[in-house]
Amino acid sequence: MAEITYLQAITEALREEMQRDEKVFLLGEDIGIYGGAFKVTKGLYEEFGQARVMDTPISESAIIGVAVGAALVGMRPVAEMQFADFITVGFSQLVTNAATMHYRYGIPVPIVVRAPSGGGIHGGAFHSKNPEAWFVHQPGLKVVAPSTPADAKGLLKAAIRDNNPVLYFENKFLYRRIKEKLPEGDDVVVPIGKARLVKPGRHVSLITYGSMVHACLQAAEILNEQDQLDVEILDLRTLQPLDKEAVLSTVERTSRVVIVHEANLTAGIGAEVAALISDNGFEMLDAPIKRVAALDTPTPYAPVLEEYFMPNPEKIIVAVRQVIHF
Amino acid sequence: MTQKEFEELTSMREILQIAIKREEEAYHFYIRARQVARTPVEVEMFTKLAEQESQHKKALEDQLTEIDAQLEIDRALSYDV
Repeated sequence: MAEITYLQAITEALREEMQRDEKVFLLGEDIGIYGGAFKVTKGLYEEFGQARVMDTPISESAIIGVAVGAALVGMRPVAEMQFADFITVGFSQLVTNAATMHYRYGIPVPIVVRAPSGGGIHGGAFHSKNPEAWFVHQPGLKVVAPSTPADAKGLLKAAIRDNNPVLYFENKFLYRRIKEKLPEGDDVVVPIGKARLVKPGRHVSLITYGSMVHACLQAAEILNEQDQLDVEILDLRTLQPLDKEAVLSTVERTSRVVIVHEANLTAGIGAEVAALISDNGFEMLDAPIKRVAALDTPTPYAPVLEEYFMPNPEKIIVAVRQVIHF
Repeated sequence: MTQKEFEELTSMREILQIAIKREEEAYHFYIRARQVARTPVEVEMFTKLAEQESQHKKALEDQLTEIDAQLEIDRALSYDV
């Protein structure tokens, strides 16, 4: 068992999938010799060569468009957006073409778009976005957001093997901060569409994903010490399709729910999960559902303002106490 | 990140590396002391002291991880080669 970071888990998944299937190739800005802005693809150019680790012009529309074209002729491209923020430039290729191609022509489009997302890094409004909800709204796309090295690796493998376009939101704050011992050489694929029960509990459910899984774990520890609360944490892992069964199961166990995401509040994943619970599990609730999310503003650049803007364990604790004492 | 902030973080990194090395040395010192201890009380004391040094090392390593992670993010944001 070797301890690897979240970032190394992504690199390992890419390497192992490229070794497994010669149709898998990578494309993106400076992902070759430079190894990508965050060095996720470091070493892969040397190992697999220029034809399978392709540097592209600075054009996200071209990157995703080329990926769609390559997928239509049987390849399995993995496109890197340097920052998730820049995915907007390739938006039409994703939602108009990639997402609808199978519906319109019956042709699979097995592409993966890796999108380094998230704030807390003092990156400001152009380098901190969490745009996952835009893509969850579009039928025809799958969306995943891992929180641990094991899931980062297993979900990327699943995404590459999936015949649908998959948006893979990797959280860059977690890149080198989260480490985990993973078995070496094991081909573990984490199925898309399955949530993970991070921590069972009795009093309240925190439904979350991505970086906020770690904030929820911190909050749960404090709530256990200070309030003697046994907090359950559910990591959605996949945002489209949602694991509805897992969501309703946790509501059934605790009857109190706080949904936590790093993306801003309005029309976020939390709204969809809350609607799902309201539609299918209203009678199980003992309190209104609360959501904890970033403020509805662009990400501030000033560290003190960014801290105020972001969700964190303290805000989660306040929300939990509100639903507990309702 | 300003040049001054970058230099401060780099300097902090070096300080932490030295501190981690010292915690390691202290850990090995108490392990050696335990090996030559003559009474159960001494064995217990040196074991506890070694454990404490190990915890100090872990805390410092966590701080180093945090600094390294942020330095890498800053490098990516500024696109330094």
